[in-house]
Amino acid sequence: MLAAAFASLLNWESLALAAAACLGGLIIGALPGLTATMGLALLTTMTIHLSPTNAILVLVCTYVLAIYGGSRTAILLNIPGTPSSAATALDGNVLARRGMAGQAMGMATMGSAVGTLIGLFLLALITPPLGEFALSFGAFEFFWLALFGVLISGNLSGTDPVKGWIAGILGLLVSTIGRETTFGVERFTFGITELSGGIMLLPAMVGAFGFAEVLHVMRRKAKEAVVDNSGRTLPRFREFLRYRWTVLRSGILGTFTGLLPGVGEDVGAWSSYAVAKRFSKTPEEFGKGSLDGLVAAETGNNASVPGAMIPVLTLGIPGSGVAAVLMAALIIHGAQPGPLLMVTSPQLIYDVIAMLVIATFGILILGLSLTRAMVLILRAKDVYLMPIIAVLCVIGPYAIQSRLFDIWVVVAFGVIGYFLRLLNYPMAPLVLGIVLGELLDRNLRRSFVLADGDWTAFFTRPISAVVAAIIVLLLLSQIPFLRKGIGALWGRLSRRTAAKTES
Amino acid sequence: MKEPRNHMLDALSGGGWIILGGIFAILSLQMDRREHLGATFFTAPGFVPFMLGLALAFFGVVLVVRSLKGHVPEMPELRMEASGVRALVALGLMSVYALVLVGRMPFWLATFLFVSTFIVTFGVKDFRPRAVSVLLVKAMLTGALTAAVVSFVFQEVFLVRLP
Repeated sequence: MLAAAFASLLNWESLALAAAACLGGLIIGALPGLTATMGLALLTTMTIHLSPTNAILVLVCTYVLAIYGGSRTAILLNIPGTPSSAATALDGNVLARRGMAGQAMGMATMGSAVGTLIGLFLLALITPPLGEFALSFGAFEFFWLALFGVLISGNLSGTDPVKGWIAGILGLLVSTIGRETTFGVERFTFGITELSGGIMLLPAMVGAFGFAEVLHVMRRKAKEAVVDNSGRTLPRFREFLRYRWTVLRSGILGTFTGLLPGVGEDVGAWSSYAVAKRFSKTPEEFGKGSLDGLVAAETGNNASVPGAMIPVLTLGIPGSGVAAVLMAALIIHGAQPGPLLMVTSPQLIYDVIAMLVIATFGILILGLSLTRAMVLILRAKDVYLMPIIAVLCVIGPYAIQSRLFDIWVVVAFGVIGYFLRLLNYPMAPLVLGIVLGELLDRNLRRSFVLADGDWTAFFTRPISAVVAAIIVLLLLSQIPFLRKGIGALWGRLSRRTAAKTES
Repeated sequence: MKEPRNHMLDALSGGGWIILGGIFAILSLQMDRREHLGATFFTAPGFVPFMLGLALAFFGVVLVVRSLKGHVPEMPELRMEASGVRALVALGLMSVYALVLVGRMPFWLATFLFVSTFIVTFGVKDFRPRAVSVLLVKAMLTGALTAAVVSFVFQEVFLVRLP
């Protein structure tokens, strides 16, 4: 099946599109203000007329390269091109200022490429059995999983879980607008015909991530100067081999972080960075130009990309905000990600693996060759770039259904997104809420029908009980006096264990 | 830069969520319950938005209580060196383009006008005639090129009937 996937992609048209998507993704990731989510949301609107395989290939290549591309700006400008490159900036820019920009970019490239490979290996290993396992899920499990996805995303995607949960609930509420599927009742439409079909995901996403992002970029002052000391980019094999354990550890950790619903690539990078520091023989160098830290962050965030695709393919629950856009695109192109994927179109899993391999080649080829050109691109002024992005934000969502209403949705979500971000509300849970709202609504009500109104049935099935327990712990962990109590208990236990060991 | 009173902003937004959650909950209760089709309270169309409205209002209360207790939340976006006026001007220009110009005149013209005006508005730093002329030419060229390329790609390649 993997051979068939490669055979379907190894033609001139697909390869040319993949090359263009890799270059586009690299530029999107590298330019501050253009995030992977925004790029993917805009590209979904532009790939609507391609064949499903080529459209998904373009989106996968853009996704991978955009996450990688963020490292360029992080190293050269000390501004993460995408949020997932924030950890890269810590050491990357220090190295660049020491005149080691080329070496830093080379190591980041190798880390990203190997991270993607580790991630896709784990994707190939985990997805089929997880898909088979997901076939045993029923309405109860899907309700809990949808709720878990929104809550964990709220918990981890920002700095304030309460605000993350509010954003998630808001997304879930937005998803209830329009005609519901069970009884055909119109909810919150207020007689507006266009609202009957509900708020479409893509205009909402382009608004929250694209339109709002343009406003944020225009709000801030001028960019920092680009460090222009590229030096040798191609890393020596022996030098990279020195970080093999960091790469392996970060790759595995990044993949599993990506796998958690709503957690995303930035957590993948930070957790890999933290673990690498813990295991490092020179932890004091972290943040002061450590290649170990740089490689860990870059391997971690790119390994999260295949990781985030695992729950999309097997459960129909995205692992990150970018994966949510990818999932929406898969649905638009006729694929049905979720438990039935193993029955309806198992080939898609192998297609995605083949696409990830092509994207990895894209990282290596473009990443190691386009260092000078990228410096020039990074000098592009926001004042010229942002109006063009705004035009694409307006026309892209319109192109899907040719409705002016979708443009209004973009503006509305852009304004809402802008002000929410100012108040530190994360956007990823909002988008996940919109994506998972229908799943949650349908399965919660279906569960009540199946259980004949008995709510205890939500806690008696084994998988449901486990996910419900995790959700309760997640919520309880944010109550200050409980958190302090657990912390004190943990401290007491640790001290007692230490005392026993000493005696 | 003066430190914004973040906890008051949190209390205000919390109050907003309480009102919004309450509105959603009340509207959900007023929805047709389809009881004649066998729906119960738990399976009625308004059940999920009712619960979500309550949850939103609950977390709004949490924000308000937390703020009143003096919790000062992080708001890095508000602390960074930035200009709210620039963002508001950008919002004004983008809203006029999206809500007024697009659909009322040919798309290429609306795009040309928007891109050129945007660049001139934010690009002007030197008011000497020569510098202004150079900026105007650059802005109009970028506007024309963007209008032409975007119109061509969407209309001729993606076969979209532009607004």
